Amino acid sequence: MKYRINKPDIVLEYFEDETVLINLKNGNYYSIDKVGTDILVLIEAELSTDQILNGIKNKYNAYPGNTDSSIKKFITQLHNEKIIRQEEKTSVRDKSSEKKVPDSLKKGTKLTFSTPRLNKYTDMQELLLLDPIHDVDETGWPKKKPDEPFNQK
Amino acid sequence: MSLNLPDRSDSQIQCNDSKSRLFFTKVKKSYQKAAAAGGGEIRRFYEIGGSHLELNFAGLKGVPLLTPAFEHLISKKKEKAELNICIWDSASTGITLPSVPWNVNDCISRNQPWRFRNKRYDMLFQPENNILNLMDSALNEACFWINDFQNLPQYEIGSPLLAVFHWWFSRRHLQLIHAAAVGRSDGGVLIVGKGGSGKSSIALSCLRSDLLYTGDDYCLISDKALPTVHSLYSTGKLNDKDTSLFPGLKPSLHKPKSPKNQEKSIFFIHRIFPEKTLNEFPLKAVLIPKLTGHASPHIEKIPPASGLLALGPSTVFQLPGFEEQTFRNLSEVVKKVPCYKLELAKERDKNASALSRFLTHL
Repeated sequence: MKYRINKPDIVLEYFEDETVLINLKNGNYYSIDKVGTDILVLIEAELSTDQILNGIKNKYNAYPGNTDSSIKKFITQLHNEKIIRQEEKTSVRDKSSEKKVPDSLKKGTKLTFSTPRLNKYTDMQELLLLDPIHDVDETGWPKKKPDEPFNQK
Repeated sequence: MSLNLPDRSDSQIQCNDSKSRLFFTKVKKSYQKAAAAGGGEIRRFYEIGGSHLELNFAGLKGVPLLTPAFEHLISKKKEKAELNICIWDSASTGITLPSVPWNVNDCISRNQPWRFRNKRYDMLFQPENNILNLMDSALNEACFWINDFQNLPQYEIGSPLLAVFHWWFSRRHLQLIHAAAVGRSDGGVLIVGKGGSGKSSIALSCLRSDLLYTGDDYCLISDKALPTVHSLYSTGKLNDKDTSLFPGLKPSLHKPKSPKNQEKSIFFIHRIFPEKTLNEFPLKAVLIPKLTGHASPHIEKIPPASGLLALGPSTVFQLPGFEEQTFRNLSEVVKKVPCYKLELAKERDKNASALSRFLTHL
């Protein structure tokens, strides 16, 4: 199974040990720790779930069983938050061109694995979730309802 | 920092180029009729972020409401502006907006104000306040309309024409940013965070220190290797509880018309403390304030990602359009300058003194 970053709704910036993401559609934003960032890099490189598991275990000293399940759980979490979306179909061309683990995840001494963490922030939703206005005047412009809340900052 | 237009179209309204062009022409004609009906055109010139801008008002009504916030940036040059902004209201001129050029069922976006954007035109209609912002980036012309200047919201007096400025400067290597900015001519800091995080509080405290004031809520930042912060609005904000700290300000305060949305009173720094305003400075650091109530302030370095978490979403979601580009530009800022956490002390003057010492040693 493969996933992709849910662009253009998601914009993200990688830092050395962390990633910051914004969902432009719903106002949620997130930070992801080092291990989660490495998983995200592998997702963006269009690797399959099995390749992602191997890539992470190449870089981190992993504990059998626990590591696979926590990586899979994290990927599910990203999917549930609509940060990534499942590839609809794997084309013949995609199958033939095997994606490789990025070099950044191969080199160096192995690090200690920790459960990848996704921190979610929802405090910006209020700037997006304005009341829809459906009544319009004779020129087509929206009419303000008398009891409408004041939404603008 | 790359300021190329992103590929993604974030139009909420289906509006093609010819419809947009026709609509802009009609709005501009309405403005011209309004200027004639309003007793003539009032012209004002400003130098903002290196751009020479002309504000044209149809009659006098909007001038004292929309211009005080950038009075400190008045330009001596009275011709050949790079951007012309036409401003009017229907109540004082009797001239209404032209009809909506698209099908209403197509254009009402779920949970969003009305807006469209294509390569040439940007539009934001704010139904809650009956305000239209419209820009033609090929002709370098923009329009701002409100149904009645008497109903101009407090945020539009404190930070006027924000949407138009965002569209204009996003195409000119300057990023509008949601932050307070204080410092000295040789360097200063951005104080970032969402509303209520203490930005205004620390910026106000600086009026009682040796630090100068460049902005309270919004400013502009360039994409140089060492970014430069440019002043946009010289507006200060005060909570009711803060007014006792600045008793001399009371007669100059613009209080919100209604207590809705916990809006603050505003005042114009350059009118009261002209010696305390600073129009630009090189950026030295990004600070994220935190209200603690401790006896002493504390400043501590944090990772750039933490800076982006405080700066990115609060800026991106307040500005219409260019979201991805804005996020990228802000990411560049926190990678170029160090970010710090500023734990604010209960006693405000201590915060300003600590910030001044911090800046001296930076």
